[in-house]
Amino acid sequence: MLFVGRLDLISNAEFTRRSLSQLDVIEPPKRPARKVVRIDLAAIEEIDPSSLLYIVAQVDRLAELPGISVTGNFPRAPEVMRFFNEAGFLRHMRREKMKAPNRPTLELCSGHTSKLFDPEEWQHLYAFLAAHLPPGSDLADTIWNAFSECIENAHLHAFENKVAGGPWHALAIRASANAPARAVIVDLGVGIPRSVRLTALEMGRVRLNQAVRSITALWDRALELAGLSDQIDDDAVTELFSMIDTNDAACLWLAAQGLRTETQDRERGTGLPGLITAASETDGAVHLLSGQAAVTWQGGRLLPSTGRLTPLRGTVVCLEFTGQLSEVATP
Amino acid sequence: MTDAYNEVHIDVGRDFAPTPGGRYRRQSKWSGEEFRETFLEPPLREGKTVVVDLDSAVGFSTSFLEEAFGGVIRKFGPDIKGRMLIVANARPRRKRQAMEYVDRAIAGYE
Repeated sequence: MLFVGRLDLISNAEFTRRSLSQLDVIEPPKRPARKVVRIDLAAIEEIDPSSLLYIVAQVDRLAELPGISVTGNFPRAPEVMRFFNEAGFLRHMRREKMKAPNRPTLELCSGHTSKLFDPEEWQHLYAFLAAHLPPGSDLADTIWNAFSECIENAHLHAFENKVAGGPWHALAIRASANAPARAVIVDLGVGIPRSVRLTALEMGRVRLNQAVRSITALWDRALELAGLSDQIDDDAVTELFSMIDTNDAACLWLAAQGLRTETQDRERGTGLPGLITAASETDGAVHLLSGQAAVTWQGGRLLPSTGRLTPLRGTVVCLEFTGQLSEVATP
Repeated sequence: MTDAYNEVHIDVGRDFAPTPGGRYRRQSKWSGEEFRETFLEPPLREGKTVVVDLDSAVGFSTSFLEEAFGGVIRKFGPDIKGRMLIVANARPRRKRQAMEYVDRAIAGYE
């Protein structure tokens, strides 16, 4: 399994997804056979935090499969190798407990949704980023919310079998000279498009929209349910749906607006909208990747959709915090 | 938690948990549901006013705030808002968020 070139799930999305999707298709061998999966990372030239964490999560998943051993090498590019080293990747491959205190640029942790949601598990990630904030900064709350909301979403929605659950992985990376500080949360569950609640009527409408490339009906229904019909002008609607051009992207958008959750409770669905609001207040960005879609809010504005992409397992949320975080000299 | 005259002061970070959790007890340690049932509802039932200080906790998830404060409105009705004072002098955004959920719960109250 070969990985080459520039892996970046945000800015080089399709190439990176095609590359990472190699990891999705591996199935356990028939017993008593054993299968060795070799992950060749040597030719990676650049990697972003989302791709790194996705690989970590996939290695974790593969190592849990019966009859599979995972082996591999490290990237040759020094900066990429350092990145993998700081993530404790070697220990991760050896199935040793993940602990990487006092790393210069990043902190990583993982947990399991079969346990109770407990913010203490990832408090050190927050502390790692917040250590570089001015005292009393609102950005600290934004970072806390970022981890909290995304990990709670993984607990609530990511896995169909909620008792068995599945793992989540989270990573915090400091600001550097050429990149903002980021928080990334990955789960390899069913993904947002499969976990949001769509009514039978809406499903029909989605299919119709696919045929006629018109998603206006879904939008009208969403506005009606949200009680927003009178508050949004038609031009804005047209512009918005010219950006959301796949069903998966529409699902991500609806989930992020709190218009769809897995349950019908009115009070649910506060997480992602709160995150987008908080990120926009601090001039940050939220990237939401799931299914065949990726949507981005930059400074509170929804950016044009990238169209239909190679499917991604589970959900990746990447938050970028700009402005107030201090820099370190890092890749 | 201090109880004086007809007013109860609750410092969430000190009295409940430095790292409050998610929405429900069954899903989360230090949940909004647990906080509401243990700290908010008993004094409110006794007719007291509660003053909730949000400053000292590390942070709050929106689901915690919604379940704790929006949940009180759903349980006691909109009039209870006058006996639930939320304070966050050092982190005013937290207060804004909590009040937003109170107001939304009032708007959705039937």
